[in-house]
Amino acid sequence: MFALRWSFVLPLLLALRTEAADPSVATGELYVDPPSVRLVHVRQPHALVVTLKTKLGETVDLTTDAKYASDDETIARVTTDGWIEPVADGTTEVRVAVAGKTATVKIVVDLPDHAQPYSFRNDVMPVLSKAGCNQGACHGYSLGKNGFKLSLRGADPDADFLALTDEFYERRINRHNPLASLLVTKPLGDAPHKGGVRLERNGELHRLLLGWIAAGAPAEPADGPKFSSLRIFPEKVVMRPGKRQQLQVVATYDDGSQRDVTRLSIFTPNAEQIATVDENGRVSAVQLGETAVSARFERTFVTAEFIVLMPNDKFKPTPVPTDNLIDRFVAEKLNALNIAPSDLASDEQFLRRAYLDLIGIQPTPDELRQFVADKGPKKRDRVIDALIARPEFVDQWSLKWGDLLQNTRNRLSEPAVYAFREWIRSAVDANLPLDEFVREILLSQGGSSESPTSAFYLVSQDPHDTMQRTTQVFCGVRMLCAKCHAHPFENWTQEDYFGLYNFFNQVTAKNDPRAMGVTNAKTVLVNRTAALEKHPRTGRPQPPRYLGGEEPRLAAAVDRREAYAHWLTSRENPFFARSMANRIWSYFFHRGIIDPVDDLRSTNPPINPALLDALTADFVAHGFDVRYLMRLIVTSRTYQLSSQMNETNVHDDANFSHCIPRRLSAESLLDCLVQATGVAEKFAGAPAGFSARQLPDANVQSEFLKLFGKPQRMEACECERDDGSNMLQALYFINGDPILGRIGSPKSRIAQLVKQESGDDALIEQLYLWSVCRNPSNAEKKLAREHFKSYEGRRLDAAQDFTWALLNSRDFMLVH
Amino acid sequence: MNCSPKRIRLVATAGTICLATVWASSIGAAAPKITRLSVRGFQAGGATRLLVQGSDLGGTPRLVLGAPLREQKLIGTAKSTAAEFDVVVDPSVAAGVYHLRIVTSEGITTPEIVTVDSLPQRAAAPVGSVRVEAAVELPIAMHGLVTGSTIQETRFAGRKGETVTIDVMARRMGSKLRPVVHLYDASKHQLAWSLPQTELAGDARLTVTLPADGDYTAAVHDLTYAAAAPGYYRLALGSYDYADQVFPPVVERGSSKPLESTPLESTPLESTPLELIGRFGNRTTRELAAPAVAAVLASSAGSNPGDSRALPWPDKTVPLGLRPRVRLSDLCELVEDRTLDASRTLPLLPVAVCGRLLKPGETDLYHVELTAGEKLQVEVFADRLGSPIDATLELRDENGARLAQADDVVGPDPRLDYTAPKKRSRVTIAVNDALSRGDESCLYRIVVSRLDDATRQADFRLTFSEDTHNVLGNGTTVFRVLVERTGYDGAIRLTVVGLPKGFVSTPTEIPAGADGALLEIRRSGTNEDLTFAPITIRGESLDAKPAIMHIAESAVHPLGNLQPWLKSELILAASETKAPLLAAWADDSMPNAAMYQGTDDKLSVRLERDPAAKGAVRLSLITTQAAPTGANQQQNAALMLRGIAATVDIKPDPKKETAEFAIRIPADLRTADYDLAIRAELLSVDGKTTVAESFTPSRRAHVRPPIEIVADAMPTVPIRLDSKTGAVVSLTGTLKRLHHYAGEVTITLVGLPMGVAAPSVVLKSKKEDFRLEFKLPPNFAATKIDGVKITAMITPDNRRVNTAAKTELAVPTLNVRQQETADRKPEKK
Repeated sequence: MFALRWSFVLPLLLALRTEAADPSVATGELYVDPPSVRLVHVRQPHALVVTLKTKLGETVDLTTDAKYASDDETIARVTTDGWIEPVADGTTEVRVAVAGKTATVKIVVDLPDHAQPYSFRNDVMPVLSKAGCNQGACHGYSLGKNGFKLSLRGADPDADFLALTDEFYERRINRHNPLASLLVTKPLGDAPHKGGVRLERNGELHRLLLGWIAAGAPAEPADGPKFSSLRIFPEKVVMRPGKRQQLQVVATYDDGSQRDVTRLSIFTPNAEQIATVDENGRVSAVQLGETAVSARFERTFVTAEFIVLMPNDKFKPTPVPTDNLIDRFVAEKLNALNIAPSDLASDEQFLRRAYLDLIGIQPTPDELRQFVADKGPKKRDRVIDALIARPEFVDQWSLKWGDLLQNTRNRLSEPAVYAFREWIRSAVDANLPLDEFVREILLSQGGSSESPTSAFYLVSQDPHDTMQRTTQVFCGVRMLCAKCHAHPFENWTQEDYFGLYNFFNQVTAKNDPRAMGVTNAKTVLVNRTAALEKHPRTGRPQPPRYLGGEEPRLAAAVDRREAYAHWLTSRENPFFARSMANRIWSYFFHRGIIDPVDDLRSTNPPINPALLDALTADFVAHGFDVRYLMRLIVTSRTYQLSSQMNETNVHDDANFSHCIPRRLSAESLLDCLVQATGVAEKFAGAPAGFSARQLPDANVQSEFLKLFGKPQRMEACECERDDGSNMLQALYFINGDPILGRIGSPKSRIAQLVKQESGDDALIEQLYLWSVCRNPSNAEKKLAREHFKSYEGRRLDAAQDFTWALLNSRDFMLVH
Repeated sequence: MNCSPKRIRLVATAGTICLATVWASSIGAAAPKITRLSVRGFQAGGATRLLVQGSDLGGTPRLVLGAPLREQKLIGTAKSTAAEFDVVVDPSVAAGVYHLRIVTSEGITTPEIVTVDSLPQRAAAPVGSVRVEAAVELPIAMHGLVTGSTIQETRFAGRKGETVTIDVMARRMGSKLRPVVHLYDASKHQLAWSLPQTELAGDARLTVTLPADGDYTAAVHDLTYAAAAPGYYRLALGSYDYADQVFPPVVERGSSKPLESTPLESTPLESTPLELIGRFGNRTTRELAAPAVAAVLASSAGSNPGDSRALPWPDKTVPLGLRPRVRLSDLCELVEDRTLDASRTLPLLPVAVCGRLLKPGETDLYHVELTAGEKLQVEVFADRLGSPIDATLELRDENGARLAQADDVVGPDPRLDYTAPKKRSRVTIAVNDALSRGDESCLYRIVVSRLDDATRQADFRLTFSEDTHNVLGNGTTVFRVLVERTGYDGAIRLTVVGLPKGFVSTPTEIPAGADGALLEIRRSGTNEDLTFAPITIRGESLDAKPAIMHIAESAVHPLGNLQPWLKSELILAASETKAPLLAAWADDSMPNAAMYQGTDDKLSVRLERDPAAKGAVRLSLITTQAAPTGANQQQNAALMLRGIAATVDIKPDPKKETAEFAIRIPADLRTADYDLAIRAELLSVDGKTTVAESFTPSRRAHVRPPIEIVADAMPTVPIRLDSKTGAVVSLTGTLKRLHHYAGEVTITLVGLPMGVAAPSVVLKSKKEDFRLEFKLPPNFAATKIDGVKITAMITPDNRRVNTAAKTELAVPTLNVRQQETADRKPEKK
């Protein structure tokens, strides 16, 4: 799949690299899409998208520049902007002329013998959506506006039909005088309307509404065609800043007919600073970067990807490696973007990064020296293997899963939290394949003693919460919106929501009778005879439905979670492995390939689809082996790139062309501080001797962890962890007792080093190694010597102040 | 010499210690105490070295095990704080847990629970020990202590393919540790782990086949890394056998009567096929030989219902852990017959049936024939028998429709009452597990009885809270014997059985309705041969036919449910040392008195002290009130008959021989008889330890309200309602104030029908007569009014205005009739 996609885009990218596109110098083929048009509905015209290749192969959109003419206007007419309208049955051609080139498009008009009735669903509903009438801020609001309520974004056409034709003494529709219908006069601005003017007089939307009313505002014909799918063209576009591209959106109906719905679609760009889009689907590139533009029609989304790029004659593509799938796909993408990756990080940088990412602490000076001195082959691979086998690896990744699974005493009993923590640690330690890991969680029942994973369910307030958490954590999909209405940015509906919900609505909980007196001690039960939850709109029981629409046939009185768990963790599932691979990837870079990692949707496409596809396939092929995946990532050259940028990747922060420095997590920062200073932290509310990464949850008294964003585990979202920086954190590091107290402690490592090291150079080196895990440069040594000299007779003070400066530096605070 | 203030303080402290030591020795040493054992287990037939730490262990201490010791040898000289022994337990001793005590000339320690089995026993190195322990050889039992967040590790050498079971025994030995055990290989990679398991009473166990030759590590820690004291444990490593359950768990006491009419199997004692469930080599179950079982149970005919019998271990096994046991019952005990599918009809009630859910999701069904209106009680025992299941109970009709259900009534076990409707003749009892589990260990027992069955016997249970009593030469011990009543509310005579020479006990009776009695045992002479003796407290009903007899048991024994025979052990030990403190009531001539609800009182105690005793005396109150619980089932101190201050410290004063102890009688204290005594503890000079204790004799008091209502006139004739004015009803009476409580009394009539205003009067302090009037409206329906009461409420103590005592008097049924109906003559047609 990815090969096909890139075979399409790559020539464009390569062309852009060498020459600025200029239609005036264009040569080669003129392309008109579609090459032929068949018109079967009198009210459904079709547009053309015209592109031309420059002499060097660049593709340029000329849709708005082209001249159109129909050979026979008694059969089909064509507007100046390229919309072809049927007139009568027959065949003709439309000629397209631009930049001295011409092309012809075959037009077949095949209208039925009878008059084509208006369809409320296909003619009116798209108008209400396009005009914004049914959006949340207008009549789609749950209480409607000014007494007029429509279903949000057209989720319920039947209810909307009644709202238009039956309510308000039928004044919204005037069948005898359609022009006097409130449905028309208000959005035209002919009658007071708080929503303002929404329709262009005599525009297509106006004509459709008026036509439907004039036809008697008929209900939906029983045998009318029904929408089945949507396509956008072109799907991938590479353009330079200032250029434009017309999009075309085509709907397919269940009778096989197709309809150009570009003017009825709603377009939204993901990043307006990169590209904007007008209401007719014309995209304008603003600045260098990448974005996606989504189009919505009939509550269905399609997305086109845009890369905005400047040509670079001097760019030399990086050789594409073949021995590492990550490096291969990253390099291909970077080459296509004229970006050269940064150089490899130094041994010191790499080691510190690998330590922090894999086990959450910095290497000790001995470990660093040993690694740097190692001249053997594959030493980076070897140290990665060693790190993955260390007990701190279990601490680091158990913490991550504890966050995601919301293991907290806020909602669980203390024994349950510790039992679940032990289970997670054991699973991480045993490298339990992720599919098994998830199945064990999802199929749990009982109390914490017999089933520690039952805590997953006990965290939830109800099955709705469970379903939403499950979907968000294990599929990266947010379903909350679809509980009340169709998802605003994805194709999920209430059918999808309650279909998923019904896999979990058998789960109940009761107080654990064996743990009387223990706060929050509960046991999870599965009521196999629980009825299916009804769809809130239809009132009918909603059959269980997987994400994506399949509704399995389940026997009565079975644990429906079993089917779900099997589906979720199957190798063919398009959500699970992909979201997990993406999530794990994100832990080693500043972002996911899809970002945010728990908001996967068609309108939020991956930055490097080929990479994600390959990573997912490899993860599945290796049996959902998390350590394998982590090792694959960390041993890649991409991971080991320096954070020093070059002139080609200075603007890139999405394609993994260099390491992007990021702040240490709260726990790592504190543990590194403890290691650097040798003064342990005591957490009230946690067992003695625990490091920050070993804490059972956030219910401990630690101003430090709170300030640096340790999550409370109240949400199943990566976003709950705040790895950002703020002024309070800076002040805390400058003046806070956890730093000053540690540095000034007579038992601190600084005091010991001052006693041990007689020479300033050795002391300076030790302080560098313990604090920022590297040797000082010559300039830094010189500066440090002067610093110590200025503290004549107060060597300990000098060392303490010097350490304070090091700990306040970016080198300590950031993974880089 | 440099006499710095610090040094002076040190000298002064040392002097104080020396003086205290001299004084203590002058009045004799105290009874010994154990604070720590280096190992909590012995190898049967093998030598085990044991270090005992505690206090007052000096002299010639002797180990007393609840099983035969072949040899015990004191190593060196015993110190007051430590004594070391080499111990050989008789090889015939069955694997299990036993009581271990140390006895000296000054008394005996409270019991410690220790194991006996065939494994070598060894103490684990303390956490943080500098010494690096060599890997141990299997099999072995390691004994250690986990405190707080510590993790204790044991390294052992294993071979590839070797199957090793790691069993952590903590809760099953009375420890408070909630053990989690992990098994790591040499590279610290985890191979297996176990959380505390319900079916092991909260202990942990795992079995693993070792993947390679090499060193392995078993690590033990507390579940929440917050081990409470005591956190000791026994870690058994190796290949051995154990039994966690017995099926059937209950058998009929004595010879059972075979029931020919039932398709279920009855369980005649002589041939009871008992099956042990656990691990025996490669098998999970093992059947015990019927003759061996019969031999063990032979004496059961005379035992108490509910007693348990320890069973023998099967031949050719290497057992360890708790002894398997079977309970005895007076009911007809049946065993589920798994060859039958749907026709398990229970015979005549009451009956009990033991069964198992062998497959996941299994539901066992039993049918019961009922007559119309018959009241049935169905109770499931599962958790209480050590089963892992969370049983749920349903009653179904002939069509399978649910009639009633129950869950978690007694802990996780369900119980329900059901009254058969007129047309119901047959119900089905359905039992399953809330989590749909099923295997050999998922056992249960159902008891089905009729609620109105005259054969449902009233019963009671006696408990004591302290199982060891050391009595000095001229001393006395007083302790509580409480009764848990299940239908029997009459008086119970307590008898001390096996009281050795030199002791006497006061004949004691638990009054009808009372929570218990204080039992008093005092020295009556000397008995130089006696150091300690087991005694038994027997309770016999005085008002039940047939008479009920039970032996008192410890209420707080940590293994009371798991190895119940341990909880009946009660030890009396004698010391010839004279008591340095004697306590008695100051007002010996005063007869046992009444106590009034909502009031405070003072008890006067006479204290006689050895002149050498310099420490303070601490007084505290002992009563027979069972720990009262509030609405949330938590203990509620406000409802306690208690000292206003929990303890009172009396400073030494040679001129003063008596002391007062103020007590508070709660207004809500149940009207009943209560025994009281004062415990007097002689404290060390620093006030931190108890040197000796003494008790006043027990005194019995009846608790009652401080006021009493005496009714003068009650409307015994029909109340006639006038069709226009209705009726005014008057009740008059007198209020009797007891013990001169003179506060205002509010008298109210309660329980009147809806719409009738309740009259209320307030009697000033010197008023006694009262009149309560209420009016019935003309349209009041002719009826009989029951449940009307006169209540009187007083605040006996003006200093505690929120405390009110209350009494009430029931009014006879009020018969209300319409005037016309009552007086009118029948009309002629």
